[in-house]
Amino acid sequence: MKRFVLSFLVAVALGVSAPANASNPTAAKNFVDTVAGQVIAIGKNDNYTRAQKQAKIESLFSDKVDINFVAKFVLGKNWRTATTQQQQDYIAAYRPFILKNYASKLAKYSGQTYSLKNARPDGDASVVTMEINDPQGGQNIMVDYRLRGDDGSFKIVDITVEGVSLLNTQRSEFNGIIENKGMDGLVVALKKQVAGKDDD
Amino acid sequence: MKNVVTKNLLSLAAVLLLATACSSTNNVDDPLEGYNRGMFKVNEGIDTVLFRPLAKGYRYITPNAVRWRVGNASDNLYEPVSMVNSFLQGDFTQGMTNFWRFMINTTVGLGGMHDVAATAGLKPRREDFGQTLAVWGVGSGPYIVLPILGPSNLRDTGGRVADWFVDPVNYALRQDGTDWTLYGVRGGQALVGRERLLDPIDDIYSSSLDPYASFKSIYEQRRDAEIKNRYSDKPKLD
Repeated sequence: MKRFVLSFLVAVALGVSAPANASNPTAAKNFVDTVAGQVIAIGKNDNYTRAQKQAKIESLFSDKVDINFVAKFVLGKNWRTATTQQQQDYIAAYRPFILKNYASKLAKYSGQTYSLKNARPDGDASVVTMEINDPQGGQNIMVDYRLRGDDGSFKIVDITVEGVSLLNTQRSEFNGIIENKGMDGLVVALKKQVAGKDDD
Repeated sequence: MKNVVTKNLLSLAAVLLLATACSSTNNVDDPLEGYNRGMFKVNEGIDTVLFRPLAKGYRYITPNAVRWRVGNASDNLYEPVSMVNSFLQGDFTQGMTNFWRFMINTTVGLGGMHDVAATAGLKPRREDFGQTLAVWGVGSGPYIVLPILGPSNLRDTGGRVADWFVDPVNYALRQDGTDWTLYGVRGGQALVGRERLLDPIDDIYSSSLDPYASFKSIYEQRRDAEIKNRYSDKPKLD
């Protein structure tokens, strides 16, 4: 709870609180359903090559995920203290980073099915819970999608897998790097990772 | 046996104490970071040459269906200690659920291989003493990377020790007068656990800028979700 309150406060501090419209859980659920359907349709279309699948998933991901919002959010207070140039460099490095590491995973679809559990408003956002059934494993996976906006303008701003949030994980990781190597060090690290050189 | 365990625990405590004393407290979030990063590297090394290859080998030689059954049987052995902790947390309903899950799955479910209790609506939920302490209001304390066992914190380390001594399974598996059955079964459970984590952990390594920081954050978030039973309505396939 404390962590959540904290992230909420950070969101407010960042000035990202949404217009005061009540989010609509049913519409949010439909949105997630549609996007998941699109992901699966791309994943199981055997007419596409792997590269084509990857490209299609990436463009869907860019369209449905508010990458700029996520990028700013994971920096926390470091976003405000960064120079305009640093902010631009960071966003430019973050976009390929998240596409490479997350969109690519969606392209590896192999027969999982899903069902949507519930949708609930949470602050200015809606959270839709999905249960993914993996026919191979026997272990179901619970995923929460956090959406901002409302019907027609929904964007995904966080994905939480079994309680582990993408935002929270990246935030602690990035802040540690900024602490040790500064903003510029983070940008270098992001670029290196995308280029495939994981080691420092 | 008891002496060995006690000795090991004492030396572990000494190491932790030493680590606390040595590390400078420049990081509020992770006062033991110096020691933790060192132990993380050691664990990484052991995992790379030993546990990960073993888990891959296990995956390679067994069909999915077999691993599923073995996994269920392994999970079943956590029910007694989950039951104790559910009761300690004041959750009578869950305690009884753990009790009946164990009784039904061990017998009708053939040693836990088939989770027939889940089909009957008795859903699994693992509870440990670390969670119990958290429910009682004990804070997590500093993050600690344990030798071999990996991510933990002060509270959960204490919890693991308490669970080990309380767990009826540990006593049942010593009935033959030696510790070998016990270590064999616990080792098997560890292998099952590592195999399940093959893909997630590989994923973390492929996408993380700082795996140490990722593991730490993921551990804290997972524990938070477990303590609050955030996915308690999670259904399970048999």
